[in-house]
Amino acid sequence: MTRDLVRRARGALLVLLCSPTIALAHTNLHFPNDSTLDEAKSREVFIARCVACHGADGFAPLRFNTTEAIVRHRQLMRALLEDGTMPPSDDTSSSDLQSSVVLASDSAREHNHTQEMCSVVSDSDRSLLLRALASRDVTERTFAGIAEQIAQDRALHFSNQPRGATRITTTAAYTVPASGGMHLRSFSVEVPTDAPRRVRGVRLSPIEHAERSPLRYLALAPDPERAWRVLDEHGTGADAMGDIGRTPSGALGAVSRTAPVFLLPKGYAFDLPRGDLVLEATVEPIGREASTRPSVEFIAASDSDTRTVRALAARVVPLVVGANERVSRVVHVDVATHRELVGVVVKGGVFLRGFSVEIIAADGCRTEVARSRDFRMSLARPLIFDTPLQLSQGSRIEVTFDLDNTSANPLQPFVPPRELRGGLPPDAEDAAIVLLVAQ
Amino acid sequence: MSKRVRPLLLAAGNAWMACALVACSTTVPRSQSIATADPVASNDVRTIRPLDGARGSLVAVVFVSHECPIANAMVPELRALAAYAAQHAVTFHLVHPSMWVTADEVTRHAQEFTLSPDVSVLVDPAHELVKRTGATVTPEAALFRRDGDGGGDLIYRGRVNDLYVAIGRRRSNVASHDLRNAMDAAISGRPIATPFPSAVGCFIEERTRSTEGLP
Repeated sequence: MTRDLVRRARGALLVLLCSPTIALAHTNLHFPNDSTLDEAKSREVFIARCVACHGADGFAPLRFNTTEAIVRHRQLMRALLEDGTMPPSDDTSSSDLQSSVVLASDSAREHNHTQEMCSVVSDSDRSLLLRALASRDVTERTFAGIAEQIAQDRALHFSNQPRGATRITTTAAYTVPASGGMHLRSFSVEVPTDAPRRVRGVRLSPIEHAERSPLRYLALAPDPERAWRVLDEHGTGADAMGDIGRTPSGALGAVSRTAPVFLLPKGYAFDLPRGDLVLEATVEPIGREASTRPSVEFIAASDSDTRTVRALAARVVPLVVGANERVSRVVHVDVATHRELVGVVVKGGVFLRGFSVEIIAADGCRTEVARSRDFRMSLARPLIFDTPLQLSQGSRIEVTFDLDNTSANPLQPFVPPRELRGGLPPDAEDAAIVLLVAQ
Repeated sequence: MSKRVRPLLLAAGNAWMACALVACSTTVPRSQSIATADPVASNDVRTIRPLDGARGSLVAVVFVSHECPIANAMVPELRALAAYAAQHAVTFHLVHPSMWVTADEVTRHAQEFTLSPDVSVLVDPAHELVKRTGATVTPEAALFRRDGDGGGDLIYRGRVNDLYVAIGRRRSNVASHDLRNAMDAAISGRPIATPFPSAVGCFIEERTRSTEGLP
């Protein structure tokens, strides 16, 4: 009986997620006297989806970090949520992705994971937020004490260590010009002797006046041999990718303005060797010269975080796309022994329009586990699976990159388009994914 | 689509900055306009009229926000446009369409982004110019041809350029200089090819839409 109910509920969920009728983005919803609103869940979704950019130190305009501020901007927030403008991303991929996830868990129980994509808000979450913003009374009640909850949420990530004890900052600042395109700047930084040997994650150090910071994204790689110093002898960084030999940048995680905290699931940790780190910063001009000194704080692992996470890179090499071509480039990673996929870090430039990650089991069964049709590097965030995915022996990870070098690409920098070759600026193109796996 | 406007402006006495309220009707007395400009806590506010001028002359306004990264990213282009406008006898103003912004914030922003002393910066706290132009985001530009009687026709409204194609999607270079092209066409008497292209940026919070919590 219970099993039957569960099956029916799962079926209902599947229909709900797959049905186009749940596209709430363009409807006018009214929820007067909503007594069924889950206020705690509303606050949780709000903090996860809105506060990263609109918090006290967020980079987006308008601060939504107090009850008063949320009430004040309630109408605007409602309007932008309703028409799908906010959060900025392609919400169709979110819906599709969740559908595929449900399908996957229905057909292959080992893939019973959940995940969320960059900056997107699911239709159900959107509906929840709209209900929480339906009237001034409901909004005041729902978001009462939100400032304290935001503070608690932030503190949660650091409850196992004193704040600032493991902060790592570049030795010198880099000045980003007033105009131009997004580009990379990688810094070599020494790991402090008091840094933990094992870390569960990393946090972007709070940035004063984040809306005026040119820093968009920061990927980390260990450099125990201090090999990268030759490129960064003055500590001001170099215009290069932050990969160390075969160790990809992102091997120790990545943080961004939209996802300032990178945290592995409980039970998992990175090794943090002594030596150097390379901080690969993606920066974007802000309209005036601005200096940046990327800074992160490591989150120490606890004794129970015993599973060690390592990085595998999947990169399109050589990255060559002819002028006026839009192509899919597929990269495979074979799984020789049983592993778990903990998360993925995707990197690309103006030509990378989207990507997908599929797991192909030994029997040929495919499961799509991540996808974006509207990749935006400046808003990107790493994906961490709530429950790591089981990769059985003999399975294969297939990563497909959608590369658009046509004039239809709205970010196409050349008129007419030229042949694309990956590398350093001015093209600065990359199409890579770092797979974080545990054995 | 063009709209005739008869603006009344408030401008600060500061040599470089003009804090302004743009009113749409000459029936609004100056003292009343100053009162509605209260969020601009300046003791040196004065009225200016951007559409006052010779018949057929041009005035361009670009709505900006001190806290909008997209508007700020376009400041180098806006400075260049201001210089270009000055060379061609086009009046050029940046306008903060905000009921919340303070004079100090406007001043600091203008200094930080080196807008002063060359670029005129105004404030439209009552959103009267916003309503007249139909602008919805910052940065968004509007171009008027004056009628010689304190009013004018709106001949362009839309993006400054195509630096941003969407929020979070920024081009590495500008391919289409829309406002400049519109100014060129208007200066030479040609029709503007695309007079109302949509703009990408930070939303202007409508004063009438959100009356809760107003100061």
